[in-house]
Amino acid sequence: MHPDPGSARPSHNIAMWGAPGSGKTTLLASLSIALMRRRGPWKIIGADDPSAEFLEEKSLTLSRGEFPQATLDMESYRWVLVGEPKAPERRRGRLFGGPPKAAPAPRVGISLLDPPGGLYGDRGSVSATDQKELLDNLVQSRGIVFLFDPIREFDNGDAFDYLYRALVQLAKQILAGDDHGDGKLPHSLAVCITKFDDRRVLQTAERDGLLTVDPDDPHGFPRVEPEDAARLFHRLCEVSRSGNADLVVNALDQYFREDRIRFFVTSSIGFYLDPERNVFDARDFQNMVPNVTGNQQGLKAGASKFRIRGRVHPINVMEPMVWLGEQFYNSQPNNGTI
Amino acid sequence: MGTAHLTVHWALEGKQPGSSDEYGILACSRGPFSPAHFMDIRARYSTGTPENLPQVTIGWVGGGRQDRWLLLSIRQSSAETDGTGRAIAETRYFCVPYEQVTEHHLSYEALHAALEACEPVRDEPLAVSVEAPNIEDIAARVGLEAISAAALLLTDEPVCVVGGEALPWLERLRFLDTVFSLLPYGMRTRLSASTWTSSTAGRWWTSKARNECRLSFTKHAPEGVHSVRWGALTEVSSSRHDAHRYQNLLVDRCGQPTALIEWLAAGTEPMSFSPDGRARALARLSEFTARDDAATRAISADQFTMERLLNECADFLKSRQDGKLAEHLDRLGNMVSRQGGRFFTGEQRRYQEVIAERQLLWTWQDVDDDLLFQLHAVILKVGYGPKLSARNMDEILDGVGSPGRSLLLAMLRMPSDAVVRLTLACRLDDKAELRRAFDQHSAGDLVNVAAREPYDGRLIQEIVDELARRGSAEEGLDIAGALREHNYLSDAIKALHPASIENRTRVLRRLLVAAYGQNLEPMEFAEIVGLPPGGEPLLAAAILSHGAGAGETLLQTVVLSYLGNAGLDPTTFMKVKSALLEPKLGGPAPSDDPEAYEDGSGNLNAPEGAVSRILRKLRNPMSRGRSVRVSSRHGHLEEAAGLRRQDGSGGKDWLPYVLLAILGVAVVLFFVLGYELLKSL
Amino acid sequence: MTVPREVPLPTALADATEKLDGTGRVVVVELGAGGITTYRLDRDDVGFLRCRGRNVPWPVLLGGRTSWDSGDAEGERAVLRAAGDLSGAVVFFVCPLPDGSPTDTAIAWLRKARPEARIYTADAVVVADLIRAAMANDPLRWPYDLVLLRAHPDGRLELTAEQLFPFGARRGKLVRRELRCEPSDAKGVAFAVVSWQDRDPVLVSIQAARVPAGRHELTAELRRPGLVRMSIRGVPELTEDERDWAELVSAVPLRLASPSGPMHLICAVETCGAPAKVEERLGRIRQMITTLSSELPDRLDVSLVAYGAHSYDARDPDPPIDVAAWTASPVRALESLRRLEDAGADARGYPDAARLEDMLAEVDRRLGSAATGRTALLTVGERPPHPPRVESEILPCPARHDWSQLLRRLENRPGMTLGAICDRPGERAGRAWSRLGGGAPAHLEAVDVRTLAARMGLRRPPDQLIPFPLTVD
Ligand SMILES: Nc1nc2c(ncn2[C@@H]2O[C@H](COP(=O)(O)OP(=O)(O)OP(=O)(O)O)[C@@H](O)[C@H]2O)c(=O)[nH]1
Ligand SMILES: [Mg+2]
Repeated sequence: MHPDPGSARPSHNIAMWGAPGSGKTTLLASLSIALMRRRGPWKIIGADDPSAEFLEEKSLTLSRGEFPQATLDMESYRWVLVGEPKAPERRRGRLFGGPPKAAPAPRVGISLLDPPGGLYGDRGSVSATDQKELLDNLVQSRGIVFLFDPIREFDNGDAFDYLYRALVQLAKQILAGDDHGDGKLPHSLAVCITKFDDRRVLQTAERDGLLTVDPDDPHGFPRVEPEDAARLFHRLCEVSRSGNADLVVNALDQYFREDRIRFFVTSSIGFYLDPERNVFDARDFQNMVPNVTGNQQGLKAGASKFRIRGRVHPINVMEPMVWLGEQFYNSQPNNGTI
Repeated sequence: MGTAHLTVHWALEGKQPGSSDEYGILACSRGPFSPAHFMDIRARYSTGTPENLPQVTIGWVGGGRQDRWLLLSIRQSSAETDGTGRAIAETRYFCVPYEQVTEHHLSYEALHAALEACEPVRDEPLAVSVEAPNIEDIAARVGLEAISAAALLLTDEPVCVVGGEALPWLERLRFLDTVFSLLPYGMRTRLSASTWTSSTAGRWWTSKARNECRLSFTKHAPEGVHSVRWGALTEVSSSRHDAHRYQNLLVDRCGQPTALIEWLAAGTEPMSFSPDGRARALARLSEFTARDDAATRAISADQFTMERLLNECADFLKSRQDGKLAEHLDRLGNMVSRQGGRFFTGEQRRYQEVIAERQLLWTWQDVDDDLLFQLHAVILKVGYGPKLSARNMDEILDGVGSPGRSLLLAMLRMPSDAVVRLTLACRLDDKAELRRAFDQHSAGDLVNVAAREPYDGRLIQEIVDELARRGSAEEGLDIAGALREHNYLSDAIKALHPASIENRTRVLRRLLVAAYGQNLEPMEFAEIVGLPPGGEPLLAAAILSHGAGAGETLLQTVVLSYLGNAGLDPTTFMKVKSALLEPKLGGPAPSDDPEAYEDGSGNLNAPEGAVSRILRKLRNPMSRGRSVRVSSRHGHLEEAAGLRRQDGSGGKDWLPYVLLAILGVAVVLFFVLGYELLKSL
Repeated sequence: MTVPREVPLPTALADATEKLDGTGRVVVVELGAGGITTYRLDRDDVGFLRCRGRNVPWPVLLGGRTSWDSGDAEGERAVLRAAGDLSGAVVFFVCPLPDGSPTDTAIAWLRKARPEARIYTADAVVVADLIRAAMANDPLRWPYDLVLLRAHPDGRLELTAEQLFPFGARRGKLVRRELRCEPSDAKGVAFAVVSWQDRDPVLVSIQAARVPAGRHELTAELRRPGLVRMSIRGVPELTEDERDWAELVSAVPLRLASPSGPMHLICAVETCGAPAKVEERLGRIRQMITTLSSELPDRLDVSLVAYGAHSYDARDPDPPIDVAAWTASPVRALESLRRLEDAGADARGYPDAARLEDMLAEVDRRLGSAATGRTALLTVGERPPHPPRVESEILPCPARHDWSQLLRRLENRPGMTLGAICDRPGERAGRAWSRLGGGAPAHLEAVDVRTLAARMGLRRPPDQLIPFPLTVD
């Protein structure tokens, strides 16, 4: 019924993990734009109609300046990461066998789960059925995108609460019976520090001297070098409101293999660019603005309080997915020949 | 119409404004449902993250006898936002006791309208009054999509409606109501539906309580979900038997939608989507047409079960699932036996259709012989039992192309009459079976069978042989009587040898030998050859006018020239002529081989007798097809007019007059008969 | 340090106190009939002399005996303890003539402890009185000023302070001063004396009296540091004023109501926000224009400027600031106002601030750099302006206008008065609105347009009340 370009590949499960409002859905919504803004070797395409439409529809929504709704229930998407075909490979025995054949483009099928963030927490009102289903999903998946929301951490300081409960359960399920492993979870973990575009996050990075500018970037966006992402993460945990954000760092170290964790400083919406100047302006870069209808007069029912001011320039949105995709791809048994 | 008074339990789901927490139950009424219950209900009926609000979801809760509830949830956007500024969607869940809605057949729209408006007070259950819906309004909305969707629900799999995004939510709710109104009301105890579901909300489409069905509008049909396109009739695949059947019945019956919906709405006893429930639903629907007719009223759900089993047998045949097939056949067999082999009027008609359509009586290649025989035997019992009639047999044989041995045998083993048995035994081409069949029947039976139209050449041949055999075994008397009954099988034999008078004559001769022995007694002869009544005065007048020697003339000119024109072989004709004209020599005919026409064995007693017999023969064409008579009506009238003229001229040659007169009588008779027939049309 | 004996105690004491600076002390130990009394003099932060005294009666000192031996160590300790810490102080001992009483022994012990201290036998003097006189005679360490209002030629009122007593003035100093009084309220005109501590004024006293309007001569006498007695001929005695400073200051109108010559009133109104508020703001402006146009026939020019919220939306760019009327007649201005009233509130745009800075830029641009006559800017609204760059949750002005700078330019324009009506009451109005209001904005719900107009010096109020005296020049 559906064209299924991914069905040939096994599908790898990825789960989005993060507190409510940490930006999971927005990150997914901006994937398509990220893809178009930045040319890289990988593309993401929908493996079925609804998933393809999600990419398309949500990027339109974001371009209109609207943030996605709060997730009410687990949604899952099936996508395929398609890479650049490998350069033709010269093999022995082929010397006289005509021109070498170009290898087909590498493909990684992913099934992505976007749950409501509350399911990771332990605030009374979540249904046990839902949590169980989420846990089953986590057990099934090999990739996790963990979203650390510095703004929430500034204000509420509860990132640890939304990490630990589910992590312990997951470890119990996976590690309890497995006594030959290294005692670490088998997942690859992409830790995304979200909302880099926010004043407070940018300023923290700036104060710590973690900002650089890529000389090749025509827009001159500030960025945090991949090596420094972990440092920013530690730093944000330190300035957090609660005392136990540092436990987040510990918990991640404790449960995941070092070579399977990667930190990304991300922003789904990116910095504001004045359409005329088109370069980053440190005096005016906030891209999230209160909504038109305002909050004093009361919002229209269903309207969100914030909107996106200008164009969306996602930062490090593709990268976590691609990194996970590559992890999967490299672990596929016969990827050399496909 | 009336008003229902309901006690409704409720819960409110949302977030505190400005909160950074997850959605949860903010308040609920005290009573049988705790917040934890409502969390589970929420999880079960979650339709994903909505794109458009409001959104109405319906479902059911509980299941015990005392514990049946309809669930209705209304999700609306509020003007409040959460900690990250996203609009908070507010959902109200209402649980309505099922038995309180049944009396007035409340629609979901009516429930929604009443519940929508009420403001819960602290933790009190709500007391709500709901107006009974106007069935005509619902009936007016019955359309192709609704019929398709209602039928597809009978697959017991989720159904989505695509292409309805642009419809206002209330229209969508009404649509759900319309669809449900096309199912027996009791199925609502197991129905879930929503005015919108995200295509990526896996759980709505996959997770499923037992025997529950889910219907929703969505954007794209998720994999493995039936879809109905808005504005179109979606044919239910015939492989989904119950659903397919339901659709056909609905299409058939939706001519009076109001009455139909009322009828279905009255079926309030709880029903699920299990095969059993489906059969009951089908029964309920078909009872609709039959509901005024007490005799056919009792359409049982078994009927639909049986039908489904038949269909599934065909599926298993196709997919070569022999084990399952055998199992199903057993079940079918048992069902028939349980019914004592009795069927309701018209019941088997439907099975026969399925059987024909699904080619259940065909000879399926690669199916084990025993299984094939079992298949045919059981199917025959279901479709044509307990006694296989000749008509059914013809139908079956016509339907299957070349019937296989297994089928023929299975048919042969069924209780049936001689015609069937003999026909089948003959078709079977099995000497032993044929023998056995012949042995069960008297000569009369055999002749009857041979005379049965349409004529079966092979069977006639066999029967003639058998009669010839029996004749020699002194069964002649019976044979003669039976032959007389059937006009000596002249027509049958004509069908056997349409081109050759000669052969027909030979076969008839064999029959006469079998019936009367080698030589005919004059009485026997007279019996065989007789004149029809009604022409006597004319004949007498003609003979008188001829004067003496009329017998001679009659023989010479009428009989001989009659036979001469028949196209007999010259030798045969010569034999006939000599037998006709030569005086009787007495003694038996020199050969008892009827094939060898010996000379001078005829014994014509009286010229009248001969003529009358010949004339009697002449009647036969008159009993042929109606069209012949109609088309020749004027021609005969003209001939009759010509007869009067010639009659008035006082011609000398009487024989043609006699013949003409006889013909005239025939024509008049014929005319009268034809006229009567015409009038009766 | 030896001081000639002939210097009498009062002189010596006055001399010593006068020389006293912030860290030193003068101690006078009096051995009298009542026991040993110690007076310690020093200066407080503001330079006032202050004195603390302590008395230990003889029976306590003697501890039941009637006299001491000179070798009584315990008695010596008791006496020294009664005299207190004398280190680093200028010390005077005052005692009666020797008479064989324990006084003699005590003074001997004290002299032993502070041999350089001067001893006065002062039967006749009451030490307490001496010290009191010394304190009253102490010269002023800081000048004392009288708070006055100076009326600028354009009527603008400015608080000033004019010297009453110079540095070093002493008790009894009398000063006379011409001043003018305007009508005042029931509590009267406030005569406030301030001293200056470095740059900061410190309130010394406020006295009030109901003074008839007109010129008066004020006589002020320095009774002692910290106490000034004032009187005005023909006016009953001045009394302590209970009003607090902020109350008095906020009662000062912006202008003295004596307008003359043409006047340019610029009304700037925030048209975003709740419709009812916008309507009310426009209503106030209408009131203001109608009131003034009847009071200043042919002398009033009106400009009307409306501003809303930034959109921060590229598809809906900000329109230019709506200058509905510029130096138009009141009639024309009222017509333009009608158009604004019809348009009503604009619900769109950024909710937490308004384009106040854009409005200021536009007004500033239109006023130009050339001098203009008397001009008043009345701003009516609620929201704060946008900062020129990222500095808070409020987004920066897309045009990078700096409201603070622009406002400074306007404030500094000759002939310019600022006034404001804010939806929020004074303390919640915020920095920008205080400045726009020339001190304190009026509250939209409570404002009386006539009073405001008077405060802004736009009209002569029938009863303009001025709580301070004015200069006479
Ligand atoms: N500044 C900034 N804000 C963001 C960004 N992404 C998301 N947000 C804000 O965070 C809010 C929540 O984002 P969502 O993507 O809905 O969060 P979520 O993790 O899916 O939350 P749940 O669905 O409740 O679990 C958005 O409405 C925005 O206000 C970003 O890149 N930058
Ligand atoms: Mg989400």
